[in-house]
Amino acid sequence: MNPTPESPETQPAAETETLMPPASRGDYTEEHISALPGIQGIRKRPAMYIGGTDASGLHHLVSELIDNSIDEATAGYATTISVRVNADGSITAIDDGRGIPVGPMPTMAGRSALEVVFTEIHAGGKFDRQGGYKTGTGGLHGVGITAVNACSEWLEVEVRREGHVWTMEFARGEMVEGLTKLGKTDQTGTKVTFKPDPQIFPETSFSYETLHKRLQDMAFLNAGVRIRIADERSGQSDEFCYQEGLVEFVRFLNSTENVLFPDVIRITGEQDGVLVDVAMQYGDGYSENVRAYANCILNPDGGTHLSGFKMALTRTINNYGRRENIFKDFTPSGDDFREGLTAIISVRVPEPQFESQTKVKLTNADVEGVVNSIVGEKLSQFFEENPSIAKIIAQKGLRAAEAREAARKAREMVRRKGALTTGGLPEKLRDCRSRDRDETELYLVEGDSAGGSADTGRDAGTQAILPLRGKILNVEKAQLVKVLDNAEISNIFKAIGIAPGDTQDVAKRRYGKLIVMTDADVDGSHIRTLLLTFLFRHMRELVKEGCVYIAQPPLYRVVQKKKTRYVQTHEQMMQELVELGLDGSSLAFPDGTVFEGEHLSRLVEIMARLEEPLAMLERRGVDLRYVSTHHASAEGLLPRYRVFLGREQHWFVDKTALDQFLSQEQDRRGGELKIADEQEAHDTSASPDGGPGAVADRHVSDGNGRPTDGALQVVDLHEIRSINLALVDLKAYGVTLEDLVPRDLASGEPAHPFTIRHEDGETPLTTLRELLPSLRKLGEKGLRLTRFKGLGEMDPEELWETSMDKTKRTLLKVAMEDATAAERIFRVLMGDRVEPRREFIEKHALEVRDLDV
Amino acid sequence: MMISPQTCPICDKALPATAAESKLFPFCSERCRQVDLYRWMTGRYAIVEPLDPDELEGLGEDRPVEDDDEAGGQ
Repeated sequence: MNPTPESPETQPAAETETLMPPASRGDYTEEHISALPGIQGIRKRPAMYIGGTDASGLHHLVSELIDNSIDEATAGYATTISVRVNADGSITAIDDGRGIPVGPMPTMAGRSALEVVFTEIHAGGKFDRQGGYKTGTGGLHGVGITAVNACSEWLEVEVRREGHVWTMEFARGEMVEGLTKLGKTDQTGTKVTFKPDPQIFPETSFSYETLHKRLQDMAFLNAGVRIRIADERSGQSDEFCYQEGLVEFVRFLNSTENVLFPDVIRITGEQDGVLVDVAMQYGDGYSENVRAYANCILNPDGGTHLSGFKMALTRTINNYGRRENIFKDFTPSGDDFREGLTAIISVRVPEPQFESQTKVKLTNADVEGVVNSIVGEKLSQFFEENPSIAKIIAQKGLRAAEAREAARKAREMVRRKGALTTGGLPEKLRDCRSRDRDETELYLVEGDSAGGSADTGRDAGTQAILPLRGKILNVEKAQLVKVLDNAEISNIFKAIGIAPGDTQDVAKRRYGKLIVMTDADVDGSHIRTLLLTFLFRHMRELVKEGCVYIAQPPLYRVVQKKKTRYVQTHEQMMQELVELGLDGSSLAFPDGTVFEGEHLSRLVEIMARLEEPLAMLERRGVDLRYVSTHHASAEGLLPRYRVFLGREQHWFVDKTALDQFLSQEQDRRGGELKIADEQEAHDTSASPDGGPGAVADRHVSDGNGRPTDGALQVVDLHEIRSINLALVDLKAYGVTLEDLVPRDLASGEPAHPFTIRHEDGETPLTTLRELLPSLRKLGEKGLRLTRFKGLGEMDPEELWETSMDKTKRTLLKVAMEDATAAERIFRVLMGDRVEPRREFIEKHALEVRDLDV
Repeated sequence: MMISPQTCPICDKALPATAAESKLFPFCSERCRQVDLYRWMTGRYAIVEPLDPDELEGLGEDRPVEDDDEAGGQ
């Protein structure tokens, strides 16, 4: 500890047991007097030196001692440091450094260097760079160890150096036992034991946890230094040694966090004699954990090293994000880039200047520029080399900026004192007269015109109407995007009377029922999905309490012999038409077989199951005639898998056949088959080999629509499952694949093997697939069908009658599961993850067509 | 369904099994709830129309999903 530069050789051989300065023991001389002001000064105003006399000041004493040992370790003289809390509450700190010099100092009237170090402020080894220290810990003013001595009831120091063990004792800062030589040793090191003075500290008991934390930090900051801690009072002990230093520090701090990338970013450098060492990593949390150390002293208030780091971080990420076009909507601030950040900034400065002896803040002006330039340069370089991590970091900042903006808006809403609920009712709301929740209903109606009809048609006593505009944006040709207009969301809150974040208070809602009424088409189902998702996320209690309903407006109006009725869905309508068409019809097969009645109905049922999957198959560009002619199985079933391998195309009935082929190919080619990249793999509609109707490939290909590099593509035609199941059932009726595709032309005329016979005559069919459409056409006779494009096409009476009249309408109560499902569909439909959506749409294309939630 | 309901719609953080009882559900935190509300209030949520059968062929194409990919509930 604080060895003086004096060489031990200058020291006279010490034969006597004590080695005292000329003013010997008992004499009270000028030399002693001169020592007192320092010690007395510290004891009078300990706060100036150790920050206070509370627990923090108390533990600071240990820090001062350790700092000196760390200096020895940093300089390469010590490897191990031990701290022990003794049974009597005193502290012993041991290092295996060089040991504080003990020889007499001519400039200090020949007093032992050891005594000077412990009793004089501004005495110590670090004022001279030749003393072995380049830059070390913060204890540079020669105050620390003197302060520890001054604040101790007693202090004993034992130094091993020059082949001997030397001791000295102090009480309240004054030497009470001079330098004593105890015997021989070949070791070196310093051991200090002290007991804090109860006259200074109201509480003198050390906390193991506090010491543990501080010592572990020191071990992190000084890679490779071994630090032990033991507590004789409790028997606890620990040992720290971190070869990777700061990287391990960051990992340790992040051990309970979900990190955004596995590796810790490490930046090191040196400039103008300042050593900079930084380690950083982001977690998915929101708090900032950035610690700045100067010469191994934690500076809780930061300082120039921290500000230099922040400047570099903000600048570097901003540059990256702007260049990569990530920051379009928000401009993140410096704070945003530190959200979820864990970082350690450690600098070693030759002449550190702090705001106070407790070193809360580093003030060396030049350090800011050094840290800024080193971190800026190295971090940009890291971003260039690791673009994926750079992107993660930039996006994290962007999200933080968005959250900040969201929080600001939220605060604003609170400041405007319930602007969302009590700022009057929305202008568009048509309120009802009753305030009795047992009978009142709020209709959320899609579209202003439908809102108008609903307003006219409603029972104004109990039914309120809030028209919502589901805005439809035309993003690119044929691509419609539906959003809820900005104002609509706050209108919903206002009308219902529950503030966001106050979702628990269902009892305060202004209406008993909340009824979502949207068009019966796909657009309507999207708006409904949006609304339900919103309610699920922000008014979940309403859903939970069963207050939310879905109205079921019809899609078709059917007028038959002046009688009007309504049909809810497209499926229902199609079904009805087929049934009407079946009435009195029979079907003649080419072999003369005639199907009618129940028999025909069952055949029609099976054919109905084929309609959508066949359409789906053809949408993929697969020609039914082509596959059924060339690739049907012996049982007359269609192949489930389509495989592209380079320029070849293969079809397989089932997984077993596919796997067999793949393993054969692998054996033949001697290695794994290369899988075509995703883009190509998904472009399954692109091969003309699928037959006529296939679309030209838009991707790099050999001109035949397939990847050029012999890569493998396996396409699972999942709709084949349903087709094959239906085909098996059709077999029982003697119907095969051939009946589903047009026959070859007979003498230039299309063949019509099948005939529907009905009251008005006969309808010839080229294939059985025309059966259903023809029956529907027959069924439509004598009916007047109107398909409503939207609620707005219904007049008020119609709307009332079909969807609002409490005695006639059917409402669907939205259960929690429905809302959850809507939320999931929403995530898929609007999500930024294209992949799952594409998959979802392919798999559920049929259901999605009439997405019902 | 392929997307688990047990993740926060905003930050995608996995939610604990008990999250459904939390008043913040389906969000992981008040902050994410606020962000979501903010997105609703600013009209940043949209459903893209991908459902016209005639357009399904175009799905293999790389097409912009939304004006703004951040609007996605990631």
